[in-house]
Amino acid sequence: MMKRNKSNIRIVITLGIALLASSIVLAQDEEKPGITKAQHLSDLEALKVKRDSTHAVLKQMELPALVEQMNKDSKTREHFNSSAYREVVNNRKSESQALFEIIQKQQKAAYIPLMALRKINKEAYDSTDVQLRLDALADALRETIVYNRWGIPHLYWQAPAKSMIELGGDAEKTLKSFLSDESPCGIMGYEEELEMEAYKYRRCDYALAMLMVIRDQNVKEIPKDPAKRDKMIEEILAEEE
Amino acid sequence: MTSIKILKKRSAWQMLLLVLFFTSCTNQCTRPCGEFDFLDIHVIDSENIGGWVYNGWEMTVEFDFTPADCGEDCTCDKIAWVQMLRAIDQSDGTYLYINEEKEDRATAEGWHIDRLQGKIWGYYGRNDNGTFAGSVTTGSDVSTASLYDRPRRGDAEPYLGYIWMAVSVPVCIDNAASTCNNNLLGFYEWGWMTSDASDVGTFHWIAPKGFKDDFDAAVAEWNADAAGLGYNNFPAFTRLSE
Repeated sequence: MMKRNKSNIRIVITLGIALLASSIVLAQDEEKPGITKAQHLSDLEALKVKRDSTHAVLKQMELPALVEQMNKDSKTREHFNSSAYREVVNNRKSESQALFEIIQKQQKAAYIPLMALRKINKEAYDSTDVQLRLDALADALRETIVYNRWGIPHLYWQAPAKSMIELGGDAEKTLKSFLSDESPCGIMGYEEELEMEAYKYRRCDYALAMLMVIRDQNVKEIPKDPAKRDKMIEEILAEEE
Repeated sequence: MTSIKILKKRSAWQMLLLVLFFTSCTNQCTRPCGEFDFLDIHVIDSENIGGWVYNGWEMTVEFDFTPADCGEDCTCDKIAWVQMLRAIDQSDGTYLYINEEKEDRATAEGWHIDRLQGKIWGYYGRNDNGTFAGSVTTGSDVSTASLYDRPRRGDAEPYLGYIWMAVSVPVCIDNAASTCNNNLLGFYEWGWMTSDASDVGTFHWIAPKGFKDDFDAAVAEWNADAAGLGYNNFPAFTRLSE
């Protein structure tokens, strides 16, 4: 009986030591209730399977269906986050003429198919109707809440902004129509947010910044103070009077 | 007979403990050369901030370097951070990015170095003049290094059914005389996810071993694009943390 008790005590002590050692090892391995590391890794594996399946479906899609998907994505996603856009840009270069024809036939184009065409066949993109491009880009600017698809004026531009700027004088009237729109601009990304917070950009400021580039002004020196930008906007608006 | 039973019992207990021990993190995780501490500052769950509704997480990760934990006795007076991240749309498994450049320099697995476009250093929060922004406190072998971040996304598609993950890596830099210079000192994974109903869940832990290769690949992508973008290359890193 004594021997048995001693053995049990040894077992309890061994268990205690082992648990202590294990808890030290695991101390830096905290897991929030409900999301375990094992589940997380398993989820990532499942997402990989889903991703492969998505890519397989996209590969099978005909170009008109991809354009339809890009049209839908234009409402909610940035072009670089549209799977249909990625499929066209990465794998459908040979279909650029067909893409051009689909876009030209539409009375109203969405911005993502245009950005896809611009990426795979700049010459074809440049020969699309200027007003079609202007309208698509203006719609995109008007519908934007989070400005990652445009860039940050004093730092970098994204394809839609570059496309607008490329239009030069043809874009001036469209951009001027945004100069009274003081809707605030959001952006994703912590460092990006800090930049936006420092400048407090509004939609009119994006239009102003693109106009500055078109007019060969140094947009990197755009004033941080919205009041100073308002003055610049007033001057531009006065040009029309 | 009784002692045989006890021996059998003991063996069973010991076996169980061995199994528990070897299936714990030690077997699957990276081993940091020191200690990580994670501070959950604030989970952002469908919060209206400046007129928009966001989800995300505000946090700080800290690291105390103990060279002996990795069998070293080096010193290091500047520990900075490199952070890689990726985000996945759970509806179709595809990756989401915040701009064109980050997509361009992402690995096939969607990982990319977390830096504002135009910044010449790949180290998290490092200003072009070599100093660090307020989001980083550099550490040393006697002081804590910390990284602050506040990733957030709109409470709308495609950021519902969404997972955002980062791996934060402390690294000894600017210590040419130290044997630990340019050594990676640990890997810490953290992130958050939203359900389709926009509930936010968070997680953080020492990164699984598999992410070390992803980290190397993200650094290689940065270096491949750096010259063309006018950025500084990362040096060749050594994994002090296994």
